[in-house]
Amino acid sequence: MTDDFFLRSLGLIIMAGAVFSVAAGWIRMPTIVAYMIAGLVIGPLTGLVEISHALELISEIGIALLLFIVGLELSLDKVRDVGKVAVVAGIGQVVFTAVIGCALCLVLGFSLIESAFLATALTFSSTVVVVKLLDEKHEMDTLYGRIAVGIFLVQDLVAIVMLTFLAGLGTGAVDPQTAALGMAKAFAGVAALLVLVLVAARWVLPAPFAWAARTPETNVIWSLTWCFLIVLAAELFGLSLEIGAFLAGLSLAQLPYTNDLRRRVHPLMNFFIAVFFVSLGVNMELSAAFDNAGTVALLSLFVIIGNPFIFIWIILRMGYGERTSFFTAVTVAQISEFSFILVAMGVRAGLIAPSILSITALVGLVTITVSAYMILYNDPLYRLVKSTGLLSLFGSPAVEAEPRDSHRPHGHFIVVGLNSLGRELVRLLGSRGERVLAVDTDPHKLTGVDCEILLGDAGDPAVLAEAGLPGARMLVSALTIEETNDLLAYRCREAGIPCAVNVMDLSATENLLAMDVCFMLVPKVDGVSAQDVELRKLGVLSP
Amino acid sequence: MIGVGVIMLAAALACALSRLTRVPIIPLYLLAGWLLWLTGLEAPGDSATEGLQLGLAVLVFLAGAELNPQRIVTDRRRAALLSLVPMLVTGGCVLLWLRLQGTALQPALYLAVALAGSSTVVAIRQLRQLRQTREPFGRLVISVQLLQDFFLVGVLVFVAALPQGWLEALTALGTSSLLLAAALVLQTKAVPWLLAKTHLGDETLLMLMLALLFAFGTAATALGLPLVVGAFVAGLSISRFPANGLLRVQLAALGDFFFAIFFVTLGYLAGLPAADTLTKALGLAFIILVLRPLVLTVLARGLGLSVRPAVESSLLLGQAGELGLVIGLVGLGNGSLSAPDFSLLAVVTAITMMLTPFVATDATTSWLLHHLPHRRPPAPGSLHGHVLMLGYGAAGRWVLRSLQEHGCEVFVVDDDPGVIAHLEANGVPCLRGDGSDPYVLAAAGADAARVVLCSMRRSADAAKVLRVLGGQVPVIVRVFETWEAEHVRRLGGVAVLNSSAAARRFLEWFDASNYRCASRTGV
Repeated sequence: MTDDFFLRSLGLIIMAGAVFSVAAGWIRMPTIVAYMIAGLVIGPLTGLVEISHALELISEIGIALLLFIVGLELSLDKVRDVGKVAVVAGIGQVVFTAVIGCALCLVLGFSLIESAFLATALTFSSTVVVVKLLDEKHEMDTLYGRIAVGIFLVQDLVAIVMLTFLAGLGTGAVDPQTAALGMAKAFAGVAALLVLVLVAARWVLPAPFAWAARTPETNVIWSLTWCFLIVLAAELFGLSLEIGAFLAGLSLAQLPYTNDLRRRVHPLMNFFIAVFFVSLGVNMELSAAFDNAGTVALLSLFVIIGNPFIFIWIILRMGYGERTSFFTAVTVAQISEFSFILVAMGVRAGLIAPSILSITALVGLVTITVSAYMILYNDPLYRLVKSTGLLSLFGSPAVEAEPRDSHRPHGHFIVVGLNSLGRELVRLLGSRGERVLAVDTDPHKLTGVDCEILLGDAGDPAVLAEAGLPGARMLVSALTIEETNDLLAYRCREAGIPCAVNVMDLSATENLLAMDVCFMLVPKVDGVSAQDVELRKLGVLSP
Repeated sequence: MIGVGVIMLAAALACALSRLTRVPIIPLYLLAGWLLWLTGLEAPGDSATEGLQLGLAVLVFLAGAELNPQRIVTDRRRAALLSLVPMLVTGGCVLLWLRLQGTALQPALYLAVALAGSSTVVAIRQLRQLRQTREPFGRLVISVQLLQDFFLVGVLVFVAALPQGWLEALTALGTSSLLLAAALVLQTKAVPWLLAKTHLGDETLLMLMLALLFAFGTAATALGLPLVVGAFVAGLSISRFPANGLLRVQLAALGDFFFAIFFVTLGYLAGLPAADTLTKALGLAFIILVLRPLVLTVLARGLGLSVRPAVESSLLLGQAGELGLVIGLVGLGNGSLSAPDFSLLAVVTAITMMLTPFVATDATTSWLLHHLPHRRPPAPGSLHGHVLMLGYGAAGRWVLRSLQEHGCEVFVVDDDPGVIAHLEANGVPCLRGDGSDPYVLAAAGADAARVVLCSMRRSADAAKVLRVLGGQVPVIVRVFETWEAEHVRRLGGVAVLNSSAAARRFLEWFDASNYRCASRTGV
């Protein structure tokens, strides 16, 4: 505790991030933007914070965890139904945006290498921003939501290739032969690492992780350890930590407990990535960006308007309707955290001037802010654009029947906790033809249960959302943990869903009644009537 | 990044070992840190100090967040006495022993404070493994632990300021009470208002709560108090429901990660103590493992607990706590403790924590109950043809009423003095004691009963009853889990599955309720 410089700086970052994210919530601004503005305030504007080595390490962990989670999301099942459109639109948009963007940058007077970096930065959209906004709108499972996620996953893969490319350039090679050698080494490194993680995913990881998954804490620690080990392996191969973390996530993505793991790691990532984004703001060289205000404005307009139009054109050609194409296209009107990483790598490698990072940061700030509002208000925006007749220029069909989304359960019972009570509830409800979804933290308790299952901590709002709480008929908790039962009752009251709770101790009833629980299962008392039956059989009680 | 990777690898191995051996994770994290230290690896060093600082702040914040006033049992006087007296006795004995061993007053005082409390993490984990968190004595143990943490932080404030003089130490206590008052206002007014009015997203909520940690930490430092005091008080401000519930999942992820980072790093930085401190360590371990449980048992009996819960509580609290390590770290930071003293503290903490799962077991309790001198129940009476209720519990009054309405003669055995007093006041024949104890069973005329109704909290107790009675008398056992019912049936008892009955009762209610119609129409 002798050196409190680190904690003081971290404290300022967290406090500023928190204050700005609360303020951002009032105007529905994405937290990422709020963090960057917070960084601007405590960094360049007031000089309160300087980024130390330890804070850089925290930022690096944040990036690693972010890419680890992106890797965890890359499950083939999730993109199968939108695979074709995701691949075509994802790659098509990258090519079109990169080519047009590069031409635009060259016209604006940037060198070829700077134009290449800027154009690449403009091609990628922010998975985190969009996924978070879709989640807030509860539209992740809509058709356009699934297509958007699929596209981002494809873009993530392209970004990994770009990172690899930069890793090759980052070797400091100046002549083409050495550059090619560096790139070959980087690609060889990726190939080796990819083989390593795929072999591990197929033959090494499943058994130990199945064992670890029975204890959530062990599962989290093992997964994070795996992530950091692969990051270290990536460094050993001369690759970036981003590649390592992404591949580590990818190697675990095929395991059955990934969703639960992703939800558990998410809060940790939120903390570290907040430090990263605030630090990004702290490190922003604003003067260079404002010196290029016209350039920033033009590039931002290109991302906000040009990117969506390219997308609409591609997705319409894939046979999707006008509305779906528009809604999907709106999600790509911003640049990504990958863009900052890519450009930062270029600056670190000495290939481009630091001012490019400032320009990218300001374009990011502008486009993320504007696109967030575009996504949140996509429906009125669609009606507005449609009324101008602009969409008809793409030759799109006028009417579209949106397919009904049937992914999230509806009108079902959620049974939490598969102890003997939970299992009996599932059995009895199932035998009456009710749709039941069972939730538990222990994968072994979920095996052999004759209903839909979900692995996770029911106290986690993400788990309840995935369980379809807003559309459920009722939530029944068989858990014997009072704190979780109180929380479930609270969440159900917030969602307006009836809730029945297991009560092991009658002293807990007062709290539960205050939270409008509609029924309390009291096994100790309910067992008395069953005991009476046995006593009658023995002749102790008269029939 | 290499440092983080190495620390996490060590933590992962400790996790695996903890799963395999059922030893609590904290001592194994320390062990992993010591192994790193023994290998002479320098890799963790580049980030160890900062990791330790951040881990410390988060750890103490989480400890404060556990201190939910609603978790403290209603009998707060008993919980407070069971917290304070053993702490004072243990601290006094540690101080005396260390002074006898030639340790200077200041480090001896720090070590006494650090070793005075027990481990909340270990006790709660052990209660969960024994499935006793919701039992009265389990609630009491949790209350005692939480109050101990609270008292320890207060003592830390005092001891940290003591080198500057008594007046300064008392002033520090007064200053910290200002922080405490601010936290209580937040806990009861501001945080509930914020949650009700703002509907913040999880991420913003987490950031805001962490901002509280750093805000209180900064305030504490500005007031001349240790940063950990600010962190603890910040945790206290979010310890009440629903704030603690809403943040539980978010904080759990942080807790898992920082627990690992903190304790592995702690082991790595502390290193192992020199061999010549072995006598000191053994003496300290003896005080914590033997003397404290003894004091606790006597005190608990004096406060009205039956023998069994008194012994069980004492065994569960027989270890040094994680907050003690935090106190030691503060002492190390301000120069009051030397590095060897801190190593000694870490070793004693690890040893006592490791032994808890092997000491606090049903087998040890039974052995002690068998060998400890205590008052035997009266000689067998003339009971015959009665219904014997072993354990009164939550449903006792319904069972009793039903039996009495059918004209049955009923005799009750329970270990809760409150229950026995209530029954005696109502003229119900009863006996206070452990229903699985053969002496008690004999005194209650179990072998001459018409039927024995067993609803004691452990299925192992029911198994003992079944073995003692050997099929002479029908024994009905109410259990919750299916596997418990199968076990009872194998031993010749009649199992009543409470969970199955509750599920059927739920469906009866649902069919008769409005929800059935409402849900069909999708309302």
